[in-house]
Amino acid sequence: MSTFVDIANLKVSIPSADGLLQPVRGLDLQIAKGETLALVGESGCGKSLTALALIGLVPPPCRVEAERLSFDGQSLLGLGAADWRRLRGPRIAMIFQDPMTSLDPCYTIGSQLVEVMRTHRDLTAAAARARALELLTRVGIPSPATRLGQYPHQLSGGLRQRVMIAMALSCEPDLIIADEPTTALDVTTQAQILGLLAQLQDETGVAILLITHDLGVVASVAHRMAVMYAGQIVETGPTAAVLANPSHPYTEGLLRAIPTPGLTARGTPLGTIPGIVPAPRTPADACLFLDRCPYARPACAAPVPLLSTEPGRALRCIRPPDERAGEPGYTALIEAV
Amino acid sequence: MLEVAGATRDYGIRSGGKPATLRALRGIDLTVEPGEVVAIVGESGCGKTTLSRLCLGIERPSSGSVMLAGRPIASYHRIERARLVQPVFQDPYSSLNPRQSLGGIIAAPLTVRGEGTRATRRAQAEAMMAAVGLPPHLINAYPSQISGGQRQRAAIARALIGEPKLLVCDEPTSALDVSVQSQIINLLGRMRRQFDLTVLLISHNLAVVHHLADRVAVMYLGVIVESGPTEALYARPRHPYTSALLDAILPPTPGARPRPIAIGAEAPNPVEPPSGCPFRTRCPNATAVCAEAMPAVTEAGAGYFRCHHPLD
Repeated sequence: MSTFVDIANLKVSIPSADGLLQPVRGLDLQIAKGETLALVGESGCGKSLTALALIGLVPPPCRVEAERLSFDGQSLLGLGAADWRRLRGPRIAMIFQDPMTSLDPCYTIGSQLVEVMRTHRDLTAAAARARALELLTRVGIPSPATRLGQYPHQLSGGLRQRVMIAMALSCEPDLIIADEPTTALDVTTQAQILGLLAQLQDETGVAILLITHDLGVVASVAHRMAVMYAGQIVETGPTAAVLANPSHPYTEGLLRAIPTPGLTARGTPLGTIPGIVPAPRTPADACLFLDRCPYARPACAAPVPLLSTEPGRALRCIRPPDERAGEPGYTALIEAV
Repeated sequence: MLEVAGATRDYGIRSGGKPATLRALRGIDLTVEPGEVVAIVGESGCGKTTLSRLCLGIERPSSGSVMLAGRPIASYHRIERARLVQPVFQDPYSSLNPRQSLGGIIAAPLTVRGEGTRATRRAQAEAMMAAVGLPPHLINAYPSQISGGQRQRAAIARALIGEPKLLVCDEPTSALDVSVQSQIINLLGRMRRQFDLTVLLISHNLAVVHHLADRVAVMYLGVIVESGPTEALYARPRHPYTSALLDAILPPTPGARPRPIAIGAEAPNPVEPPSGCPFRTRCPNATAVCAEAMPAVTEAGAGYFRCHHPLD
């Protein structure tokens, strides 16, 4: 698989009264054609800003710098507004978390879909409308003709997210960025939307960058995953391999913290990660997970690079699992909660 | 401890410009024994938060009754009631007064009752902070200065300082990150044992519920459609809605694939609930009889369900 999206040393900085904040500090990421890559992390880790950098929507006064930020061989650094307009929609589409705030309440579903297609494609109004109908059918919306004439408030959350997906697909993009696409939805709706995304990817070969905090969502749809912590990637690899054998202590801690019926014993204490995320102004002159890591050693107080450990996997930690085997790690922390 | 019998709650609203009735609860029976953790699960709009508000005494049922420790909840003075039942809300950002220090917030239940002196209340707040794992130096901090997990700890400390018997937790971990969520789950488990608490847990997260609850009641459109001991309910759901909720759990395990959800996508509008069984419009097994009558309660083991065509 060829590299389709290539990000090297991406930094997003915010000038503030307290000095320069850096919510994304040196991020490396590759996405291949047709694959789903999940970018996983907790709130404030910089995953949404990474997505916005990829679609040119990082709000001022934030600054975006990178060694490489390219999409299908084209550099995205320093693009003008007109260049971005040619990319956004036809090549890169975005699905946001909350479909209520990303659809315009004053226009019907149909007119919003038609507007996107007529902006980017040379289509007559009638042809665009026919295609809108076809798209709504494809994303599984019942009685699509009626829905075209309705306003966003007349649709449920699940239907609105289906409309967003239809809109993202309308210009046949090569990459869809989905930022927490199911977080605002009910659990049964979430499963249905994830199933729809996977099915559409099979049919169209679109690459998906899925931003989420939910490792259950990652497990069910992503081919590869990248775990983000404090603005950096700490671990990447094929989803099944990372979930089965997490290499980074942070990934291990996250997986221990999730109750899973059938796997975790009811009522027993869950694993926890002590401490809190470092502020985005902490200089990255040491491992950023140092203060919270049960495996930390004095040698961790130096910058840690993201290095390949085996084909397809990379790790930002000087103490990989075989090195820390036999240490109590998180299990020593459980009763200290 | 808590006994809800035949409770209904209607709200007068306007729908399409015309007055209408939203029937949030349609005959709820729920008993919570002392020391039990009972979870109410269901999707948004099913009435679970309305039910929690009845159990807190913030709202009265339109009909039916809510008994707390053997007396109608409405017969308590609000300060008496607050001695028995305390809430923990979902969003620790909006449930703490931003202009009060943590010490003041946590001691507020004692201040309202006029218990002790300023110094003894502060000492009790310090002890409570230690119990929930808040560092002592935060006593003068404001909510904006602490993390979301610490705020939820403060909310739990405030709820427990007056030694209530019943804690009503409405989605206590939904607004928190995974690693913090597990801390709060552990804390609730520990507090429950330490303070001999009865807990009513409202949640849409079936994995969290499985971990904490002794008994689970599944709500759909204002009706409890199935209820039973946690292990039995998860091992053998009898109602198709319970089964779909369980199928929708996404475990973070390698090779997990989303299981097809066998139910329709749309919950009906609670202003115009379907005739008969509330779930029939999404149910894969619905037949004519489901449109005619609300299924009666069928006892099964230590639980019950309401379905004309239960699963085996």
